[in-house]
Amino acid sequence: MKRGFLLIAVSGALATGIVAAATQEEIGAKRAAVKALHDRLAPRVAPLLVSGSDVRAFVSLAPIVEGIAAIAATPPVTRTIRVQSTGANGKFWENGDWCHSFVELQSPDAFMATAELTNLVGSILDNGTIQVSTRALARGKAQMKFQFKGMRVRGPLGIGNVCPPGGGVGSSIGVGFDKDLDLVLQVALSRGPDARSVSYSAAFVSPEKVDVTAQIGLGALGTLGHPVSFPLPRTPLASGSFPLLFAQQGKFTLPGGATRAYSLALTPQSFVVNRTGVTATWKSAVQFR
Amino acid sequence: MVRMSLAVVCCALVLAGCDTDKQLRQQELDLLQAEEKALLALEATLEDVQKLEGNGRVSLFLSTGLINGILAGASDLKVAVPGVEGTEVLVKSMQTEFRLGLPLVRVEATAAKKGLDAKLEVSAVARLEPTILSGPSPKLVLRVHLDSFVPRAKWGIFDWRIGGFVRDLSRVKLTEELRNLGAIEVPLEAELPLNLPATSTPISFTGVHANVQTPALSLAGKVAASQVLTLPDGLHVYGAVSAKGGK
Repeated sequence: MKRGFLLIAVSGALATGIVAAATQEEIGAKRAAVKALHDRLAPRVAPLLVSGSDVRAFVSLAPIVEGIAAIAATPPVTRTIRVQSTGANGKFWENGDWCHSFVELQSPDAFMATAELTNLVGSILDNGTIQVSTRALARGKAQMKFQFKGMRVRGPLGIGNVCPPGGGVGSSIGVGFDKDLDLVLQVALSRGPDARSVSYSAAFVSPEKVDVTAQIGLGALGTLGHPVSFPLPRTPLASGSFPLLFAQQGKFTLPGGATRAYSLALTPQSFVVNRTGVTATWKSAVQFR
Repeated sequence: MVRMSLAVVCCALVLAGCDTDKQLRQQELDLLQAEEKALLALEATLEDVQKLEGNGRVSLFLSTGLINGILAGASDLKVAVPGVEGTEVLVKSMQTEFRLGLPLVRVEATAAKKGLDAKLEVSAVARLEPTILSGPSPKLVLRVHLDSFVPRAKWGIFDWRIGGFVRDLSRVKLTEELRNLGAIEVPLEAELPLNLPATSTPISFTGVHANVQTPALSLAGKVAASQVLTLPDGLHVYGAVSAKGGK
């Protein structure tokens, strides 16, 4: 009789699913534990979530600024600007009172100046531009032709205004200058033309020109201080681009070893450069090739 | 009396039929346990959220939409089931169902056996296993790893062929080969070169035409991805960037 009831009980259990009741309770308890954990973490996760974009890349610019300081430790030759003459551009100096005596380049390559960049300091501006400030120790020298035509002789009461006859006497003289000045170079960052890269463009922004006083040695006539102004090139010194963290092509290897190559068709969305770094977002469609 | 009891059992079995509900519930419990473990791991990682995108950091986000687009490459994939002759699982689709910390992938699949005029729906749970491979060509590898595989079926006691097929499928041992549902490779860019090559720019000033020659300067940025977080919106890859200045 007892065995009969047992069989009936087992068959009933099979029919109603009571056998799995304990598991159902476990599921309920675990579900509650997961929900509690989820609720606890949700507020901390919220700032990390990205909506409306398929790809987002962020790069901090801080290490680049640190890297600039390291350039200062490289040999001077690697951080020296050179100015080399290629030809004369009229007279370097001319004086009417001295019967248009003049100084001009002795040969096309006779002028040379160097500016060693020291104390390189990097910083990031609010708009994300990388700024490199440096102290430049500028030194210049030139070999010039000095054509001395004599002093103009003026008579009493302004009558007569005579220069000695002839073309004067030519001699080779040295011209030199040195000056320490502050230079500022900026590297501007923007979205690259291929939509996934960052383009950069570097240019001097300050000063506009370098003013120096060239010391012209005129032999027996002494030394003449002559103001010279060098313009600093404002056009971009260099430009280029680098990719932002990911490549557009990848592959999906299926079980058995077959591969399907894919590429990401990117539609640029935002591109923000600020003190924190570069942040860019894209919408993307996957295309199999 | 015993005969009568046996008859009642048989009747009950015939009326009730058989199903895989118990296995499906176990699958759900396993999944919840995995989710709990993942949430606890995520909680530890999120102790300092600010550090994830602070100074010297990089991050890359890939949305679930993008990942689903790649997973679509496995549509209509056929996988032979070892140990059950003539049986094949057809993967109709794979879709992310990311939860906090858990890169879950729902696999819509059916199992079919030669000679049996029935297809069984399969409840398959898979996960993306992200791995960052460093080296000269770093990449993020997302391996689709099958966690469990339960046929979803109800059958009567006289549908012995279906019952046998379900039993065979339930006994399938998930080997590494069977667990592998593919691997997605997302190549990463580790180099951030900022090169200013040596240039020569013409200038002119009183008495002189000249060239200004600026030296080559370079900043070699290097990215090292180290961590992948799974959030409901997608995968978030975090790492560090360092830069070395010089020629």
